[in-house]
Amino acid sequence: MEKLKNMKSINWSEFLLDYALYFILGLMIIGVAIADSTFFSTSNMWKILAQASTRGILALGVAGMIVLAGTDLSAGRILGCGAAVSASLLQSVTYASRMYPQITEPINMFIPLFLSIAVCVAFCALNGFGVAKLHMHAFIISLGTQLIAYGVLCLYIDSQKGGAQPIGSLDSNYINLVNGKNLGFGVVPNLVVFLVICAVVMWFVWNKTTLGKNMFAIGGNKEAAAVSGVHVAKNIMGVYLVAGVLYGISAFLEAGRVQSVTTSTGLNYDLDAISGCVIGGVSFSGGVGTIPGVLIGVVILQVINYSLYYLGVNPYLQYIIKGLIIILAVAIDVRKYIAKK
Amino acid sequence: MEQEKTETFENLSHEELMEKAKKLEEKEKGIEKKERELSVLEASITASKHNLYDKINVSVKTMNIFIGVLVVLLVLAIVVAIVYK
Repeated sequence: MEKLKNMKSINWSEFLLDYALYFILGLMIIGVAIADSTFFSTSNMWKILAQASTRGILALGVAGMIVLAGTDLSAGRILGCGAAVSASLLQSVTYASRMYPQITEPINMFIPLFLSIAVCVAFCALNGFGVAKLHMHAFIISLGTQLIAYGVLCLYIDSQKGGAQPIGSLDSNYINLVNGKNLGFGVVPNLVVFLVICAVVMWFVWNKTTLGKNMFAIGGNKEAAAVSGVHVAKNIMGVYLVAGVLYGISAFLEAGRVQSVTTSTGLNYDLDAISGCVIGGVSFSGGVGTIPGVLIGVVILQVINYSLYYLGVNPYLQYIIKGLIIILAVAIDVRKYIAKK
Repeated sequence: MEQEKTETFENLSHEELMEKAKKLEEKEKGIEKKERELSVLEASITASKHNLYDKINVSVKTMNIFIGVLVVLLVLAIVVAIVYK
């Protein structure tokens, strides 16, 4: 009986420590809701989910790399490049200062989407090659790619006739497709529908395909996976290319969501995506993570962002709070790893 | 099948049986050697996990203190952010 009592108290403290972050975030959200009862209105919730959608799709790509025990610091800048390509091709044909005056008729939206995916896949292939073939650490190669992508983005935006200016005045059909609610799901914004589609596809890839199973095997123990007959380099490349496709889709949607692409588009999105993944239980030690976890993490982070903004908190303090949340999430993950060892 | 085998062994001379036994012993030794090699390989594989957290050499107690400090800091930051907005 004594032993059982002791066990119960130990489990309770373990439980509190493992879920400390969720408790604080939950309390914070409840606090905001008490301070302003309109916070939890349906329209606000849809707004938060729509804002979280593009970052959610980005996080689905980054999560694969974290499961491989790596990361991607270039995701945000790569997204910026894809968004610039999409926006430049989908500017209104009546806008005099558009980037491509030779486009006189609205083009099929699949073309910019495809080009955005192609650009993002190219950058991700570079990251994947560095990690899979050159055995570089994901931090280093993605840091380099981040700078390259930023340089390319600045050059592209600066190549406009009038010099560096935001790529805006987008086609109304494009804006309606991204920001509308016309996909036949009632009040659900199209962005949320796109996120759900991407999440379902990625759930299938992670759980039902050889690539997904190999990804977890490589993330858990690379050497063991190689000895078991898994082609490590090929599968790492596969994960990076899938992430590139997701970045491309996210970039296409983000350009339509913000309706104006500048050199700062995508700045810090990678950090939001990584912190969303870590909050959602994707472990930096590799081999651990779920798609619902990633989605929950991204939505929680967006709720925090929104609630801090809603409360009118100083933006500089918002950075400090977000930074502390990331460190706490990683510390809890490390503790779990040490306790298991 | 087993009967056939017994019959075959019965037909063998003492020298032939000794030779067969020797061969079997050699085979057994070979298998043992292979098993030893495999266990060494297995140990090297399980020990060669080089992930991000492997180099962290702290106790669970230290991590608990670190998490506690972080929680306090986070709560403080939120309170400060709400009070001084």
